[in-house]
Amino acid sequence: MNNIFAKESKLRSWLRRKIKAAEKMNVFSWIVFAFLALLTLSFIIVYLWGFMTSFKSILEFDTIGNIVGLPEQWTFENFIFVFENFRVKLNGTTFYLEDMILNSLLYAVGCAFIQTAVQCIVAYLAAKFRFKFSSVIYWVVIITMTIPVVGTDISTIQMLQNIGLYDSMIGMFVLKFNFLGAYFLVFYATFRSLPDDYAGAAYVDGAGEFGILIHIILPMVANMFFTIFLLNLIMYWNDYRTPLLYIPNHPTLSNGIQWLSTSPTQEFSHTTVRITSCIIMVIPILIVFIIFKGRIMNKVSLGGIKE
Amino acid sequence: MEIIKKGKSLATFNRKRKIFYIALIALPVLQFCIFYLGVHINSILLAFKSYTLTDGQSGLYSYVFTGFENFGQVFHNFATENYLVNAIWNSVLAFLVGWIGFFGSLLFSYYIMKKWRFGKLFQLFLFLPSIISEIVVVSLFKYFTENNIPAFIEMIGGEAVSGFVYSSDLNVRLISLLVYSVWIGFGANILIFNGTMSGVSESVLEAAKLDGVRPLREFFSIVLPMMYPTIVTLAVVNVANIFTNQMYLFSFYGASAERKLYTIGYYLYLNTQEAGNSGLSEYPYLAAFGLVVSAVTIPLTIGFRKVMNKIGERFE
Repeated sequence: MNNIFAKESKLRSWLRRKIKAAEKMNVFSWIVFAFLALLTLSFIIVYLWGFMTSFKSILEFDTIGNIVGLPEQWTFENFIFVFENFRVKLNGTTFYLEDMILNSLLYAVGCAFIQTAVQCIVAYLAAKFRFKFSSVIYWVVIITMTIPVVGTDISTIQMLQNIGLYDSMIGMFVLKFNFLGAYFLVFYATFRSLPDDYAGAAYVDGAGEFGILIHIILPMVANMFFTIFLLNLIMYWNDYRTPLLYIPNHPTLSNGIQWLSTSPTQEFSHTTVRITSCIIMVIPILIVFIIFKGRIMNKVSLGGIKE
Repeated sequence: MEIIKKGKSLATFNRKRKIFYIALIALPVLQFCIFYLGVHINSILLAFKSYTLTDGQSGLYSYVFTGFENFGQVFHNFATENYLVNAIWNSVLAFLVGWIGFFGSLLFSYYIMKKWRFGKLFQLFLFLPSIISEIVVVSLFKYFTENNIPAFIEMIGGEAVSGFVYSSDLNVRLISLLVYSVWIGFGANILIFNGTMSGVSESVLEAAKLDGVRPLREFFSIVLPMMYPTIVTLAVVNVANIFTNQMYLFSFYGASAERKLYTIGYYLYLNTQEAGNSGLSEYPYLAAFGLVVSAVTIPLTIGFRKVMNKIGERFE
């Protein structure tokens, strides 16, 4: 009985909220609503069409011509075909799906972790060890973000070639071992706002600098660190232009999809196969997103608010 | 406590703290010196060099300093190659169209902030293209417009169309690319705008509401001025990227986009990628090209920021 009352009151409060929300809507908000609804609908249609197409057989899509509708017979043959045959040929070497997944994991996890860690540590040093060199570091980050120098990729490639790190994953990690970028400023602002009391107490108790960093400071920013790591991870997983420039013979999954979408190879020329490979590429990152949705979508702000 | 004293030089820190600081900062600073300072200095030097292959078997190159020859080549190409001049216009066009997405995402973020109908759902779908790989979204869009739209038009009895992204009319291709840029651009900054807007004080909005301020006025007169620093930051990034913007050309066409569709960003990326796989001989020209473009972009960006800051002073 109590359960029924509880459910009823929940339903009432939900209805009240909805009515209140509807009351707040005015002409302006209805116009924006219409735009947003159309835009969202266009995204849904494209994603849904892609998802459905991956379950259509090549025969159904290409020969029978069922392009628009639901699959007449849902089939996994495209997925099986992609898992068994997806490969990229570069300079005489063949890279299979598992090679590309491994390269993607190495590239995305490695670069995301290295960059996040370096930015975090350097931001800590700049924020908490306030002497002249720390100010220099801070201003270097600001200036490099403000001045857009174009076309230095070719010089970076030459530099990597000179030290023998071009076209190697280690070289990629070395490139990402830098503290420049907006996330440095996010970490810097966080460290500046952290009180010195805990670290000070540990210092008085005889803790060393490394001990304070590992046991006190890093746990305090662990959430922030993980969120930025996730954002970097998604960015690097999806990035295909940078690997194409610096590790051209280590194709990631993104590179594979890019190669596939413009490749004239007959066996991969079917739209259903190409779309299926896109769906496969998206699945891991969608899982990460679904698990950490709240963390990713609620924690990003930049530039601040005027008081 | 030593930690919070300001303006100290390294010499005044005790030995352990010095070792700790230097141990942690040395490698990142070394990396910066090589891969930022070194790369930029090398880029300038490269622009004044010319490489010739001296030993084809071992791939040995020798170089000579050639003064402004590479810059001359860059300006010569701009003067004689129509597609390069076109690339400037395409870059500017992509830049201008980008503002539609920019202002759209501001407006949509406000809608989401107000918690109006289905705000969370809209936020999710606007944000999805940011977590899905660009190449995947482009591929879906491409196959959708090439296969589904023509098939749908035929199904409802319309005239047969031959697709958009691969249309024989290059203007149709250009419009398709711009439509895609706007479509995807609405969600590009939504997360940052949402994050910043959530920091707008409830009490300010409540006070405005009591004074009878309506949503449209609240958006333009309260919310936008309050988040002006964020708007400036992202607007400056937009300006800075004007000549690196590829208008998604590489994702749509790989290395085989029609020259008439080139942007400066695509031209630079394509040539850098090809040069990286071949030899040193193209490096100096590309470095000079980069410097010429930077010579336009840097003052433009700095000037734009100054103007925006001047405008911002009105909101103080």
